[in-house]
Amino acid sequence: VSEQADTALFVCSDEDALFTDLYRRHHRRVRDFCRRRLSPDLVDDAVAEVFLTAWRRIADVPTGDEARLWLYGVAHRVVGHQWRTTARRRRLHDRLRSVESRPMAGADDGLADDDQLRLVVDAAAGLNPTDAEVLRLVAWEQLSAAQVAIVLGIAPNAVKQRLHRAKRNLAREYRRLESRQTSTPDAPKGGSR
Amino acid sequence: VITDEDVMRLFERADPARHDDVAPVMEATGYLDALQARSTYVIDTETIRPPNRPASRRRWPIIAAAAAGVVIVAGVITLAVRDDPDGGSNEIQVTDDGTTPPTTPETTPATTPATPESVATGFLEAYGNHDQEQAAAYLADDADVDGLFAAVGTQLPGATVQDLRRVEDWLAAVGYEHRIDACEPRDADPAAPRFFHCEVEYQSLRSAALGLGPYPASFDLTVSGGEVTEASMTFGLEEFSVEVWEPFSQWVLTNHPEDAGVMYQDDSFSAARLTPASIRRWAENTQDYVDAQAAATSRGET
Repeated sequence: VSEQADTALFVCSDEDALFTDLYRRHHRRVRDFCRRRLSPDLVDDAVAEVFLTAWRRIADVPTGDEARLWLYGVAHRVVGHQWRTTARRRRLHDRLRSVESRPMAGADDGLADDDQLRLVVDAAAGLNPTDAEVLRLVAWEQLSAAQVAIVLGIAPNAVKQRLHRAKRNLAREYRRLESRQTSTPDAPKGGSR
Repeated sequence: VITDEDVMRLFERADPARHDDVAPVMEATGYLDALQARSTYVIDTETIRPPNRPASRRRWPIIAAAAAGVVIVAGVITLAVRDDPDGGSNEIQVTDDGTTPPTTPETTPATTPATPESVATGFLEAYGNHDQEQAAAYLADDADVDGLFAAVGTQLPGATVQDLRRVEDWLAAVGYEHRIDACEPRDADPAAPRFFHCEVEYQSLRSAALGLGPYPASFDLTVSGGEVTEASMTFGLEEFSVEVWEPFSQWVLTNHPEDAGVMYQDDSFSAARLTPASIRRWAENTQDYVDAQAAATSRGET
């Protein structure tokens, strides 16, 4: 990181003001975005990473509602990086059997007490990753197809096709999981003697 | 029976942030201070680029010659100063050929030596971006690129770097692009890596525009002397074949049967011809296929 670049950002009060406004308007939504995709212990770092990028590139941040989409785009990449890091760590743990393996907390841990919601989240986990992200952006961030296209950097038409397919596959997977759950008898408790 | 829309509504309710307590929001100015402090140790990956390799390895002889010239000139000056009882302080030195050497020694241009990792990733970036000149600059003149031909179903033993342009033209025509996920050395001696296995995610045959993909692929690269001496690629075809390649082939056969013989090597429809006429058909038909699928989607067909 260039010291000069950092110094320039430190002293420019206009840019500080722009950043402050950006933070006030969008911090909560960016935090929710990260909360929906990461375990709680990773959220604050991810949010900081998003705003750090925004601060360094404040001149590139668009105005108005476009700023939110721009921040979502950055957050999407930060979360993706975090997922890859977590996956690598998990693979490393698998290889190093001497290392105590602890189950990792998920973004959806709070849903454990609702079977239906747990089931639909499990169903979503089986989708193509980009399809699943389109679904999350539409259902949770309440974005339109055009807005999702900006966040993910893909064509609006591709978003519509992905959404169409994702909804269909989500329902299919949900029904499959549900029927398996209802047709599987409870495992005998107490073990064999 | 639960409908697709019911499941979607359930998914909306499954929002993990839906019932979050209001998170403590730090006051903006304080947050900026915290970020500024954080920036002293956080590395912004976006600002880091692998060291640029010279645009062409053919610059190296020029740089070497320039450096040698500087050394000779500096040596002449040093010897002249040493032999001159006055130290040569105010005299202009003239070399044997009558030219005036610079009064201050030049320095060799600062160049960052390309690491094997940066060569491997640089090549992949150029290849994925269809930057043929840059990709060729990373390849040794006699690089073994058979494995890049084989990846697209063409066996061309002894293929040259120039031949590779046909593959690159075809990849560009069908909208191939990739993103590098990881590039890791596969050497017994990690201090001097030569062999790299690189994982990428790719889109091809305009799969991104179809709302499909990305799909996995990998490259195996050998780097020696700052150049890629061997490159091969393996497409992860399981999903891609079912979701993209086969439906597209079927569409071509149905809608443009006259093109099939131009585009494909044989009636197995498993490999493309790499001729200019074929590449043009691939570009046109993959685009038409996207348009046809979009039209079908808007009509509610699946």
